[in-house]
Amino acid sequence: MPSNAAKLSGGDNESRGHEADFLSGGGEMGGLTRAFDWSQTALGELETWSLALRTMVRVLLVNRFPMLLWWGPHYIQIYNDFYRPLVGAKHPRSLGQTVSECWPEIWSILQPLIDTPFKGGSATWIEDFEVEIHRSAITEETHFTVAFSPVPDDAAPNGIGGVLATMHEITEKVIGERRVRVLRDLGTRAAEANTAEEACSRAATTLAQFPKDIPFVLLYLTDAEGERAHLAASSGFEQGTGIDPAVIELSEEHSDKTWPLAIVKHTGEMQVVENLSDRLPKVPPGPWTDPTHSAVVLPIRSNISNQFSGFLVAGLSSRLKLDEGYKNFLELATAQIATAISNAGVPSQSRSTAIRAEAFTSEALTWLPDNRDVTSSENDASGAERRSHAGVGQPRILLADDNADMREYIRRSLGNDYEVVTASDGEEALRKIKELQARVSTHLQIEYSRRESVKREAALRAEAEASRDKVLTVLESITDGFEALDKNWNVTYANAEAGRLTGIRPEDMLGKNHWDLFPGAVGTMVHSELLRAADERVPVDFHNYYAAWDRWFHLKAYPAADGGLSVFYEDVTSHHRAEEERVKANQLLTAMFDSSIDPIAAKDLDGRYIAMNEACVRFIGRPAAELIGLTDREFADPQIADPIMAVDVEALRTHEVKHAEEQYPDLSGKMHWFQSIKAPLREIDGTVTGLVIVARDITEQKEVEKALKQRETNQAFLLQLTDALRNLPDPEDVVTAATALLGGHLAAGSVGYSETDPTDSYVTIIRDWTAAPFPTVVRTHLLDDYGPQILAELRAGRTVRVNDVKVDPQTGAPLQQIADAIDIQAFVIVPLIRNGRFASLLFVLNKTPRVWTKIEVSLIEEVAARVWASVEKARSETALRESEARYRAAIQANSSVLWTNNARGEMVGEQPAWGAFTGQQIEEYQGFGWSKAIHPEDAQPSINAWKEAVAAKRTFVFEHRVRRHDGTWRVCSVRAVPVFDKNENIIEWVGVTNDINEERILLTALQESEARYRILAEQITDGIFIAHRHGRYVDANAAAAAMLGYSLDELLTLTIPEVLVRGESEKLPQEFERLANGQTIQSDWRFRRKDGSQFIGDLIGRQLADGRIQAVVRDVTERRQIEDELRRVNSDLEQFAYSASHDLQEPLRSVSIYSELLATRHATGLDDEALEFLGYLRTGALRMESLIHDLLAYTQVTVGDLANAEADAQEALNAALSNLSGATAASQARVTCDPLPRLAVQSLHLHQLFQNLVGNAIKYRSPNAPPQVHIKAERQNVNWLFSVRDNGIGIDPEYQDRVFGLFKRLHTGDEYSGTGLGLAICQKIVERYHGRIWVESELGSGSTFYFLLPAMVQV
Amino acid sequence: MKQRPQILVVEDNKADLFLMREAITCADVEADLHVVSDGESAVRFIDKADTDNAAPCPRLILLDLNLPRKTGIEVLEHIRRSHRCSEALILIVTSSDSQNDRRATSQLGVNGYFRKPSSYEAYCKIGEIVKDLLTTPPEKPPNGLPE
Repeated sequence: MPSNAAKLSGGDNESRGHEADFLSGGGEMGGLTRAFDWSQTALGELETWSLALRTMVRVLLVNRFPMLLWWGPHYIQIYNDFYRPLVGAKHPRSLGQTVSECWPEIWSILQPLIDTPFKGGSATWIEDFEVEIHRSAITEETHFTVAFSPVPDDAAPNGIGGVLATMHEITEKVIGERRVRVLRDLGTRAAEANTAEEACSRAATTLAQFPKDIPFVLLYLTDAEGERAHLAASSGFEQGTGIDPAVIELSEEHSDKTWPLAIVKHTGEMQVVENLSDRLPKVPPGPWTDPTHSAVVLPIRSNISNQFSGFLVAGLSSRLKLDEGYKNFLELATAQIATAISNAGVPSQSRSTAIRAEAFTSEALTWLPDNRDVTSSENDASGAERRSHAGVGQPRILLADDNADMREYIRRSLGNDYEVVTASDGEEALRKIKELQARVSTHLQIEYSRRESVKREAALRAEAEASRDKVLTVLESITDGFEALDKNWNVTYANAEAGRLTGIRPEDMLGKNHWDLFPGAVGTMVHSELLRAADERVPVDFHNYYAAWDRWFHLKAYPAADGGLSVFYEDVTSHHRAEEERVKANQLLTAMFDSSIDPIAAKDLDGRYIAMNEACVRFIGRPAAELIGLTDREFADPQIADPIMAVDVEALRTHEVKHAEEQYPDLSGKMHWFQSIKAPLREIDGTVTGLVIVARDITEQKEVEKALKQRETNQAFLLQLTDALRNLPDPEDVVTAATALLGGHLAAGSVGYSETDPTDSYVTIIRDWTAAPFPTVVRTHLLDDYGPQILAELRAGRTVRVNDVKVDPQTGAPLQQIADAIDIQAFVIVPLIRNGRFASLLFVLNKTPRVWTKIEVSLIEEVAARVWASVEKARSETALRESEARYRAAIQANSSVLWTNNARGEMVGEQPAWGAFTGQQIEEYQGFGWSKAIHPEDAQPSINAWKEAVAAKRTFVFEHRVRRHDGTWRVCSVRAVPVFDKNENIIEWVGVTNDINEERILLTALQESEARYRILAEQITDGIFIAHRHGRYVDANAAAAAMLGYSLDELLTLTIPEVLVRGESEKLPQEFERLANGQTIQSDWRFRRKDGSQFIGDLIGRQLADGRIQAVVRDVTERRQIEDELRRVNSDLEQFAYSASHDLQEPLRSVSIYSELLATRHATGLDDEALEFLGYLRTGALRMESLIHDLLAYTQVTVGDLANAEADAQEALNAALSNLSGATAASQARVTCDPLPRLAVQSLHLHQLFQNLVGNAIKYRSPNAPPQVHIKAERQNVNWLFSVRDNGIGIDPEYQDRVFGLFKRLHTGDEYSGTGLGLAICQKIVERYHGRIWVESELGSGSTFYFLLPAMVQV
Repeated sequence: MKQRPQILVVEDNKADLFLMREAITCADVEADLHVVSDGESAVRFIDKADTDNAAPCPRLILLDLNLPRKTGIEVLEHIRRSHRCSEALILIVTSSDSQNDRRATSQLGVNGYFRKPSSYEAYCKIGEIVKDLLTTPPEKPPNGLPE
């Protein structure tokens, strides 16, 4: 067969299975990676992958973090099971794709991130990579930090084989932070609203920016009666699509179909609305690919308890679970909106002291010159101020400014002309105003009586009035509410702000009793504090919650000179609300802190824990209360605590964030690796008061890294081992080198390599290596000494490892003794089983107990296999070398003939080798005499070629027949090279003649056999196909191609199923299995030609020695059609036979019976002729009946299944004879037989044969003697030859052929009755079994009928 | 007074019917003979017996297989479904020697299989068979129903 067949042969599956062990245990992706056809990618076949790539893929597949590897300059992707959900619908196409193929949409983002590490830069990362993952009941919004790190590979041109992407989930953090942002924005933006509607609209606008938390929002405000809610604002959907009814009735009987506001109003609780698609004509699309499924309705509380100012309808993210966190968030957001609505319209100055202070800035008040006594007695000012008081009549200036420089500047510039009173802030200014006001009321009156001049008095009065107006203007313009009360609590003055805050116009308040105006305050803290101020004449300053209005007020009251009080008040509800929000936000942060899976803790400046989260407590395994206040040193060993605290100190010293990898033992004492981030804890003023530490458990990664490193080391060791063993020719040297290397690598006590005797009873350590003080263990001992348990393991080919001989239950007493004798306490034994017995055992022994790690054990196993292979190789090479040496010697002795010729090509002098080979004597071969030993046909061409080479001075190569000394012609190859001197002149020719006769014969035979097969294959009309299992056709003959209508070249590009009719290939797996089991299959297959037409092929298939499948196919379409036709005809015939047996016989019976009755009952009424006619009638009917019977029998021969037919000829004969008993008795016939066999024939057929033949023998008997019939059977190859011999009348040779014909009779019915069908039936039966029947006879001396029938197949 | 057994003969061939009558008479069988000449009539006869208790219910049925309209096999199936006549003794009288016919009838349960012979003497044997069946009926009906 052609050579391409040979190239393709050999199952590539096998080698792949072996090479791809690094994919085992890799989960689903491991399987997919194994099945993937890598040869189509730049990575090439799995077998060709570099060590680094395999190791990395192994690490990736067994890792529980999502990981993705881009390998090679094309960045071909391989990823693990945990990464798979992140690829989404791109899986599984994405496996083996390049990044740009897989992620064209983000390639521009990814490229620099991957290029940088791949080209030798440092690792890169994406801080927040958002992915939708379906890992629980819903598809979730998740966030990851993705790091891209370079993977070193020595095999890669720049030392970097690819880039690894690892992912850490940060979903909780991202969503938590986003929610805080929502709340903050809501607080600042909505709070600026002046109306409830504006508050709603601002809130809706704000929330529209956070669709991932609240995909859509509707804000309803209730009307004054609380019966309806009006849509105030909305966002996140297309308006007017039925989602947003403008008005919703709040009574339950009118409960709205869209949003259950009435229920929420009734219960006051949040209501979840599921299945929006059932409720809404069009569901808001939301930020995700699928629309929003559900929403919540929340009540917006108003200032008045148990009442709602409105309702919030918020869509829920389809990517988030409605958990406690989400609910809390929604409630906080609603509370923010509630506050904004409540505060809407409240003037801004009441909300911020900062703003209020601004209003006072640089506001200067002038005042009348005052009585010196009064001022000096009350003023506790500096000396300079006191001096200025001395100047009588000097005007006073009150300056309120929070800028000290400004105060100083004004004081200096105006000090000469005015008395300047300064206040640094609004409150102080007010106090001073109040003081001034008090003075105004008292001192003005004194001034009146003391003024001498009316004019002056009038002027003074006018001025006083003017200044009073000014005071009032000030009072009106201040931002707090202000009331002046007299000593009877009557209101003497209230400013506009007071009116606005209390809702009572200032003019309506004047003259009224304060407590009558505000009865709700009686008995409250306001009451008691104001009484105290009035009674004790002290200023009071307090915050109070005024329940009647559900608002907080900041009140300040100062006793006035007239015995009354000046009361300032400010609405601080929003401060208090903001404070409450702050507390709630803090709770949220705490919840996040506690729910983090990474341990988080805070320490003070001394390293004492001041807080730690749940994860931290869980890890350390002691309640937080026990740990708070302690340092690491107080509950961990110094070698653990010291390095940790050193980093702490460093972070505190530098005020920088420090990253560190630290070790900490868990509850069970197991060491964990943490990646810690230590950030200084700053107060608002920037001072550092401690550290916040976030630690991530990276133990697993560390272990993987460690394992990786160990593997690398081991791999390096194995390479070293291979190098060391490669060229060692002596098996013992191999063992010595390998044991020494392994012992050194493992730092073991001793390593030994041993082999067993052929009975596997003794084990002999052939070489060992021992560490310096260790005794050699080279010795022989009984395998049974290992004890049954260990021995069973070893015999099963499993490695035995014992960490401590004294405690391991596997070690029995004998082994214990051996261990004691050589002073070892731990060992590993690796058995190698080849051909059912031990090929070798490798021992690694240790003086002390030792925990053998998995990696060590697998290394030892690997070494054992390699050493054995090297030893065997060395042995076989030694053997080969020896046999090669012998071979060479033999060649030299027999067939290689060395000779020299002179420059002219003449043989000169003695040529012993030539002489020995050809038998020529020295004088015979001299000169060109050697050519006499060349075959006459080859001699002249040889000489010509030789002369040509001599002339051209080039190497002579030729093949010719040489007569050997024994006279036989041997095909020899000749090669002769010229030897030149310095001047390029030929000195002599050195030639070698090699006897290649045997080779030539073999080669010729091979070529002939190949050619014969070719010719045969091309000549036969059956199609011959050779194919790989499941694969392509690799060879076929011309008939095969022609049969299918393809050219041979086309056929060889097709696979087996491609030439079969659809559906046929389903049979293939089962048939292949039978072939693989060595069975030959033969069955009909339906083939499809190139033009689409079909044919039925009878296929004989078998598996060749190289695993390929050979099929010989014959087109049997026509034959099968004929067979079908035949079956139909047979079935018709059967139908005919059935009706013949009934319908034809029925009338005949009547004829025969009634002719009989007529003859017997009415004989008297009939004459002789009538009676004779009746006889003919009856005979005719009976004869017709037997004809029908026989005809039926004849047709029945072809009916029935012959498979599994089996009959005993003796029984069949007996049955026939019993049917013939009447005739036998009547004729006194004697029927005898030899022992008869069993044979593969239907019993009925055999019965019929005997009955007809014996019946004939009796019927055609000689009139002279009673019939004698003898039956016998002889075995002839696969048949039995039966003979039935009689002594009857015999058959004329002329008619002997005719007796088997249908209805052929040699006699009249008068002489011998019969239907003429008996022998025809016999022939038909015999032919059915592909047998033969014939007769040998002579007229008058009996006949012998012979027939051949198949014997039983020998099982 | 003991009722005379009722015999139903299902036979389309008058020549055979004549012979059967003679054979039964020759054997001195005391019975009432009812004759129908096709399968459909036989089915009607059975149905009549089922619906009318006064109608005769055959103790023995002589059944030809090759019948006009309904075949003997169909008649036999009908008998086995009848509630009054299902226990009737059945004697198949046929010219068929087919193994298929023998198998089909024996599966439905018959008490005898008489192949129509070609001589008068052989034909007369059917009278003796009928007499034996009526005087010494089998212990159990062939289809296993309780008596």
